[in-house]
Amino acid sequence: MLISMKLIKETIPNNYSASQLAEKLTSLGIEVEGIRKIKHNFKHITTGKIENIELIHDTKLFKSIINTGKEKLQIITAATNLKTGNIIPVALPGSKIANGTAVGKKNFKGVDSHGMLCSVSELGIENDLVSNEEKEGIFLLPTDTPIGVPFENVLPVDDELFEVSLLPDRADAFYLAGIARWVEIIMARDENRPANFSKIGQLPDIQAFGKNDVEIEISSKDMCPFYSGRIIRNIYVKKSSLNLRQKLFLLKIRPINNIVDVTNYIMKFYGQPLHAFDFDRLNGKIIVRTAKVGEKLTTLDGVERKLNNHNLLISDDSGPIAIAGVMGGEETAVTETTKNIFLESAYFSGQAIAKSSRSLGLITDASTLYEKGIDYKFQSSASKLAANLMKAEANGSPSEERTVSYILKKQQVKVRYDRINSILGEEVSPSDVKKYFDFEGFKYVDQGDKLLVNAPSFRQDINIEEDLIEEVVRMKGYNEFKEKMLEGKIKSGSRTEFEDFLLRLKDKLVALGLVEVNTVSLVGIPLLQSVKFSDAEELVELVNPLSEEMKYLRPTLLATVYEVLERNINVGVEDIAIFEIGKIFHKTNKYFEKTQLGIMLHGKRVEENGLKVSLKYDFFYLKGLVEEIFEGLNIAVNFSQKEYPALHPFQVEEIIADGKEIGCFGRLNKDLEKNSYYASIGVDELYKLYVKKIKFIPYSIYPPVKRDIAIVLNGEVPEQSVREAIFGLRIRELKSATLFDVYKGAPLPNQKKSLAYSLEFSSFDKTLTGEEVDKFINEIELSIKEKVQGELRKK
Amino acid sequence: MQEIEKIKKRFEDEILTVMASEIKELEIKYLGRKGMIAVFFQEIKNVPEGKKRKFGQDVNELKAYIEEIIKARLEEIKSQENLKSLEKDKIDVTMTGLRLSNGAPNIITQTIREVEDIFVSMGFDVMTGPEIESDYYNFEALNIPEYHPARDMQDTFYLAQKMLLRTQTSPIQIRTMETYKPPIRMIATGRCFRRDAADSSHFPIFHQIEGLVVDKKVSFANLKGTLSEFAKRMFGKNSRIRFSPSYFPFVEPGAETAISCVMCGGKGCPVCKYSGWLEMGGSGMVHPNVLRNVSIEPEEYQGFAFGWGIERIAMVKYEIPDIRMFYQNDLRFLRQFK
Repeated sequence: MLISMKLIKETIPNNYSASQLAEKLTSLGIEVEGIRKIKHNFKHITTGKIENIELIHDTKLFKSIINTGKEKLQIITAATNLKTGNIIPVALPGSKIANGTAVGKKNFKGVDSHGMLCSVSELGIENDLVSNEEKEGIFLLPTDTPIGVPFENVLPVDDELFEVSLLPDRADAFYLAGIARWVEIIMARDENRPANFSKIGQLPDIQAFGKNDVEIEISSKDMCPFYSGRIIRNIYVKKSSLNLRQKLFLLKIRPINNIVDVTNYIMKFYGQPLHAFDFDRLNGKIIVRTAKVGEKLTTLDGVERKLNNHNLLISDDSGPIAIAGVMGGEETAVTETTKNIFLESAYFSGQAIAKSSRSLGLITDASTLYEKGIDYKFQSSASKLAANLMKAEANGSPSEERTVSYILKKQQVKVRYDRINSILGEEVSPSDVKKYFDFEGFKYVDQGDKLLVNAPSFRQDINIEEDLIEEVVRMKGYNEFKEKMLEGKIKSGSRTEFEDFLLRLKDKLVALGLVEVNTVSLVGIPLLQSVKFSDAEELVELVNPLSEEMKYLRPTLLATVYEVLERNINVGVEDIAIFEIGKIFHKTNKYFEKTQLGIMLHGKRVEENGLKVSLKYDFFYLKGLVEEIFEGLNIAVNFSQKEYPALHPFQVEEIIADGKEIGCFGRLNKDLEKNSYYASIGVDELYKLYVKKIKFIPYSIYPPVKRDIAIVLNGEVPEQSVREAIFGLRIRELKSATLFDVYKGAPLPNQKKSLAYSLEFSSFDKTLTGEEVDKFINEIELSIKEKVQGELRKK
Repeated sequence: MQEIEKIKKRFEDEILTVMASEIKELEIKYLGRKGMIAVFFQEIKNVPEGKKRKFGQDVNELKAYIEEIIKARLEEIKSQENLKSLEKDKIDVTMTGLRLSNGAPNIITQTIREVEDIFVSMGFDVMTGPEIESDYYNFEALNIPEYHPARDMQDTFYLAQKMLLRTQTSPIQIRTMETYKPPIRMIATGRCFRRDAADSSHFPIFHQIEGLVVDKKVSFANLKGTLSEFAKRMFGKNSRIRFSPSYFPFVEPGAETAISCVMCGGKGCPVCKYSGWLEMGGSGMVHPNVLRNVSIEPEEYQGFAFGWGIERIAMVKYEIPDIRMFYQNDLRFLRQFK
């Protein structure tokens, strides 16, 4: 919101500089984010009146005689929108227009031109501050503009504009008079006196003429507690006067015609939306009611709107004429031929208007003001102000006002002194509290231990005791309160066990050389398809996504972790070892969120430095990682064969713990990034299974005996089966069997392979003898023969 | 006498030029049974009586001198031979070390952990809650009914059935107060979602740290004291906090909290846009309606709450210019925070 410092000063004279005022307003909760200084760029542009204008023979140019008050100048112009009597901006010889071009004497085909007539753009005025027709041709000024006046005095171009950003509860500051009231509060505080708002918006002393027999009926009383109607007869719709035009300019309102301009002015200056109906197009009684299903109304913007039961309507005997507080109907709108108007000034409930405007997706200046909450006592004053202005601007004759009111008397708000002290943790004296409320113009009754406060009717934010305590803080200053440490019984704080577990798991993964990534939880179908995810039925869909790419909650970490892989490869990062622990989502008849671990590997672990040491990420590196994770959590893990769309069919395993599938890992499938390995593990399952307690396991003090064996068997037999054949014997003394060689080829027959193991035996009771170990080896030989049809070759 | 000096000189010349293999020879030549020193000893008897003692002394000194030099020289030769035998192991030690690429916890995890550790040490428990929330927990229970203007402050992602993605960690306040009776000291951290277009300071996903204290006499002064202590421990002991008016429906009075600029200490610089302050988040005294919604009697208990952005804290602390970097996951970014 842009607020004119010039208009503030005009409304409430003060000696603060713009930056002082900005700082003070900000400290009270009306944030001024910046100040725009605006200074006119043109020089020596004055107002003049066209005394005579005529086409120069055989040209498209006009010769005009301009009266500038001091002299009469002959000026040639190509503009076609001029006629005798127009008042226009004239750039005198020696002047400069807004873009810096100098204007002097010129000669067009033998005719002298002493200056230039100016368009809006040549004055540097923003397009949205003039009416549509004013954007073209020479700028025609209001007919009551004096001549011979510097243009910067005609439209108040030079100004300082506050860029104000308001909190939702500052409904009392969404319009100029509201900001002016806060300036009055600032002055009252600085001068240590009660605020006096009566100087802002003095009510005109007007006489009501004429009858007003328009009947008003409110059927939705809680949505419309107050309605005022007034007829203004015999108006003349035209451009607004210079005086009003200047105010519109400062309020950043685009001029339309004098009637609309007046209603807009009252809304932007006083915060009260008004609506002017063409009285002659109304039919009978005014009724405020909710819409019925099936009703329609074409609004001012020419759109036919289907109404719903959230819409509060203004209707007459023939049907809807306006969506209350949002937008009027086209049928009853004020046009250039309107003679009599019906002026509405109403108080609609914020919630009703919010529902109505949102149900239509139609948000207007009026609906925004109502939504925030307007001054519930200002409707009659606004009507009076508008009527007076319409009398001046449009020569209208106002009638008396008719009102229907269901306004409830607002309750006084109680505030106890000891409650103030208790909430703030610091004593604020009763006299200070009263002083602060005086600064804000609150009325109150002192009851000894408490105050009963009446806040002004525009202060919609004062409803409970705590609201008043906030005002104490506001007036005393947020930073004038002491800092105190918490008191009370000291207890120790802690994380939840699950959080502790996650941190422990993350530490473990980092120690294993993985970098933790943090990806977005929102994904699109193309990304999911790229990692071959196809279970679209269980996807959790957003009703209002920002884009197609962020339409669903991620059902797996694979998609976004894969995206990280690709992005890093694209920027030239070659070695990638990453993990993420995050929520994944799915729905059945309700929503589920689970925590998942995703690990992605690509490239190598060792950075090359010329030493030819290589540690490439591959299937077994990842398998080792997975085994390490489970070992670190003391969870027994098994692997078995299964296929997953995203993983290579021959380099993949399912991870099983506690008899259930808990994840999988493997190489990424064809069409995905090459030489990349991914693991996915359910973290909630890990948490359930992990054993926090670690127990010491004793080891033998006798030296171990090592034996190497080679097993020749069918090449298709999985190594795991061999290990199972060895360990299945449950030889207590067998401590380990390390596979140190896999061999295929001559002299072995085709389809045979040799697996070489180093076996380590030891006993708790003694040093094992050669014969004892031989016995074990014989047992193993038998088992190998029986279980995997292998042949043992001892070394 | 001159003889002794001469021999010493001669030895000194010879020891410098002699090869390693000839040392032994030199030793025999001077110290051997028939060596030069032995010759001197034999001559003692020929020296006049008055000078005999002095002569003997000088010869002994010369002998000790030669022995010492030869011993030193032999040791030197030995160590040179040792070195020679190790030369085959010579490597270019100036090459860079062999590096395993190491892991790193995410900057967000690190920041959350640091924040949690500070509050845990002040007696706060860490709570969590779901990312898919109901309208009730995310808004209504927090005194933000439907059509409340404050809903516009947080543009929300909706799911079906009046469910949504939490826009703040504040619903965890409600869940905590529903479960535990006061006194309560809790913080909650987690991922939040807002329907904001991404720019350098906004992203549709971000993390928050939420704090809530409810007890009989918890005050605005305690809120200031707690956040001030946190700021000092997180950003340095000279860090200060500033409160300014703000509005959040679940607190009253409500405040925006800023810390003194970590770059300039409050003097004003481009980072703080010459204000001296960096805005960190909202705070205030728990609104009585919120307490009533969880059946806590506002006349008996009162409390404070605050919510700060984790990314914002990290951006300030590590001078990260753009919030989007947290979600780009460029390893050149992530590996900087080990």
